[in-house]
Amino acid sequence: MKMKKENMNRRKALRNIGASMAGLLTASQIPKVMANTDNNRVALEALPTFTGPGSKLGWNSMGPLVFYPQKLPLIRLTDRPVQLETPRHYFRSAITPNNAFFVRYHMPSVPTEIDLNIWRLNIEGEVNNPAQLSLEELLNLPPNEVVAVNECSGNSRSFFQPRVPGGQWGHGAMGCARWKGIRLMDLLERAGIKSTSKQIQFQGLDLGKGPKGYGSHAFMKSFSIDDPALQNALIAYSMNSSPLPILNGFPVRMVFPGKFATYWVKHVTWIRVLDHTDTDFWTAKAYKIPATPQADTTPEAIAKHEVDMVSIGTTQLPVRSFIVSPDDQTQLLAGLTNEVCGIAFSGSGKGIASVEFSADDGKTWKKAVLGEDLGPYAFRTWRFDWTPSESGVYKLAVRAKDSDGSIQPDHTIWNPGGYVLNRIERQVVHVGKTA
Amino acid sequence: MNIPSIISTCMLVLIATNIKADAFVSDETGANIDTPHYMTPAQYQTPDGKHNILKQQKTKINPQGNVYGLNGVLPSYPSELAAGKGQNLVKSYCAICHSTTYITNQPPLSSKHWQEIVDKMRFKFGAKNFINDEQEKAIVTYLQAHYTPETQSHVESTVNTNSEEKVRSETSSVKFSGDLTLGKSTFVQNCAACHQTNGEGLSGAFPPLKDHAAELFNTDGGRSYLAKVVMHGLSGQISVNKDNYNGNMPAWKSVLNDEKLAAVLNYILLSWGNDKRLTNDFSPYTAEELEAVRKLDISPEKMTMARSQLNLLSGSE
Repeated sequence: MKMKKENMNRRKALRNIGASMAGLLTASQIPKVMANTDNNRVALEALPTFTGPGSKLGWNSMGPLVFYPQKLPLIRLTDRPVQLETPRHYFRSAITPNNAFFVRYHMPSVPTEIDLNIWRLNIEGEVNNPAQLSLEELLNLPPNEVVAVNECSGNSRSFFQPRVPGGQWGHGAMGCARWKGIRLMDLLERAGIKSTSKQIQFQGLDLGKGPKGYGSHAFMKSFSIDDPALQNALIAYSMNSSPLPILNGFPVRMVFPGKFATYWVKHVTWIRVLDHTDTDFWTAKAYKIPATPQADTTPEAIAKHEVDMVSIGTTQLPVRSFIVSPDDQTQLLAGLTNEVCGIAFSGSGKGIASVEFSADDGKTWKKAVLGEDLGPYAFRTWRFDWTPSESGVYKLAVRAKDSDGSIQPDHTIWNPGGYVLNRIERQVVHVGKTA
Repeated sequence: MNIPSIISTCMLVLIATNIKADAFVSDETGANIDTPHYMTPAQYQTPDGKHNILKQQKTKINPQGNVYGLNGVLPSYPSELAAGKGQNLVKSYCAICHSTTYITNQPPLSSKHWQEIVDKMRFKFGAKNFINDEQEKAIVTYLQAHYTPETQSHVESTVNTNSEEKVRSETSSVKFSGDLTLGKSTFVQNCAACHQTNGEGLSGAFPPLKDHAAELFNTDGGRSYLAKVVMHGLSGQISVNKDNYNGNMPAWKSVLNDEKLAAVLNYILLSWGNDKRLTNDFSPYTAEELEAVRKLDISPEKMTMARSQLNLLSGSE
C-alpha cells in the first residue's frame, strides 16, 4: 500500500513538473529581451511586472520589447487591448517612423483585415445627404496635409506621484507624422449639416465584448459642432507617404492637430451628426481633467469633490520638451563636445518659440539651436553642443516656450486620470575625466 | 443562354446582393452585436517556444487585392496572477475584456482604489452583466489581498534607471543594507524552476517558500535548519499548509559556494512578504556561517527528521 501511495505521489509530482515547465512561460517570468539581440536570446532574470508605489524611474515604460505585425520591436504595456510604446531613441528625428509609432487601443476586437470592396465611411445622422464612401472615392477628393503630433492623454502617467491607475506609460506614447487626407469639413459640407446638429460623433472599428451602451462595447468620441477642432480635422488615409499601419488605424483615421490622441479615432467608419449631446461613456464620462491651471490638483481636493472636471477635449497639447540624447547609458567626457538633442512641441497651433538647455539642474539656461520647422503642430528638433569643463555628475534639463507664450512648469502635476503632464524633464549624466 | 452561364449570372447577382447586405449598420451606442463582415477581428495567440516573443509576421497579400491586413493573429502574453482565493474569478471575468497584465502592471493601489476600479468596470463598462455582487466582493477582496502597497512588495524598475535616484530594495521592513542582487540571480537560476519566481511553489509538487520560509526561520533552531537544508538537501515526506510533498530537495553544497548560499537564503527571507513575517531578530546569513554548516556530515533523510523536531504551526510538519 505504501508503495502504491508513493507511486501515486510520484506520478502527481511528475504531472506537476510538466505543469511547471509550461508555467515557465507565464508573464511574471517573461524574460527581458534586449533590443540588440536576436530572437533567441533571453535574459536569465524575469522582468518585474510593475513599478511603484514610487514614481517610475527611467524614460520609457517598463515592459518587454515585442514584435507586432508591421512594427519594429516596441515596448508592450498590455497585449489585449494592444498598447505599445515607442522607445526613446526614435524621437531623435521630427518624424516618427510608421513602424515605430505607438499603439493604444481601448477594445480587444480590433481589425486585422479589412475588405476595401465592402468597407465604407458612413456620413449619417443630421445631414441632408447621408453618404457611404469607399476609400477610392475618398482618394478622389481634394487632399490636405499636416505634420502633427499624436500624443496619448496618459503619456508619462507612470511618473505621477502618488501613482494613479491606468496604462503605465513612460514618455513614449507620442509620435509625429505627416498626415494626408481630406478635410472633415469638406465632407460635412457636401453632406449638408442640418441646423438641428449639436455634436459630431466619430466611431471606428475597435469593438468590445461588453453590453451595448456601455464603455466596453465600442469606442467613439464626439466634438460639439462649434468646436474649432473640427475646422482643422483631417480624415487621413496616408501617414508619412504610406498607407496607415493597420494598428494605427487603416484605412482612415481622424487627425485633430493639437488635440490629444483619444480623439484621433482609428479605422473611422461612422461620422455621425447628432441632434443632442453624446451620452456615450467615452465622451460623457471618460478622459476628464481638472479645470485648473495645468490640470493640476491634489488627491485631497479630489476626495472632497472640490474640483470641477472637464473633458480633455477642451484643452490642447501643452508645450513639452524632451532630451532624447544623451540618455542614461551614455558616459560623457570633460573637455569634449557632447551633442545634447531632443524634441519640443505644443498643441497651441502657434509653434515653438524657443528651447532652452540647462546643465546645472535648471539654475541657468542657454538657448538651444532649433531644427527644421515642419509646421506648428509638429515635433521641433533642437540641439545644443555642450562642452563640460569639469568631470562629475550633471543634471541636464530642457524647457520650451511656445509662440502662444506658454512655458513648462518646473514642478510636477497631479490629477486622478494621470493626464497632460508637461513639467520640465531632467536627465542625469556622468562626465568622466580624460586623464 | 446555356445552363452554366445562367448559373454564373445568378451567382454574380448573388454576390452583388451580398455586398449590399454586408453594409454594416451601427448607431450612436456603437451597436456591434455581429462583427462587420468586411473586417477580421484580432485573434490572440500565446507564442509558443521558449522565447516569449513572436517573430515578425508577414503581411497577408490577398490575390484579389481588396483585402488589406495581417495574418490575423496578435501575440498574447497571459500574466501570472498571485495565487489565492478569487484568482480564478479574476482570470475568467476580468479577462473577458482585457488581459490580466492590465492588473499586474499597475503600481500598488490602495484598497479604496481597487474598489473604485471594480465598480467602474461593473457600472460604467457594463461588467455588471457578467459579475454579480457576490463575485464583485470576491474579486475586490482578491485584488486588495495582493495588489496594494501593504500587500505587494515594492519594486522599482531597474531598466533605464536614472542614476540620481537609487533603486529601492525590493524589501523594506527589515534592516538590511546589503545587496540582494546575487541572492536573486542565484534563486532565479537554481531554485525558481521548482519553487517558482514568486516563491509560491507548486501545490503537491514543490513546497512554497513564501510565508513558509519565514515560519521555519521563526522556530527554535529554524535559522540553522534552513542553512542545513540548502546545503545538505532534504528527502522524505513533509507537509506544508496541509499539502503533502514527497520529493527530493537537492543538496546544493556541490553546486553553490558559501557566498551564494548565504545570499539566496537572505533573498528568500526578505522577499514575497517573508520579511514582514520574521519575528526573530533577523541578521543576514554570512558566508562564514554557511562554511561552518558545510563541514557538518548530514544526510537528506536526516534533515526530514530535523524538520519534524521544529515547532511548526498545525498543518505543516
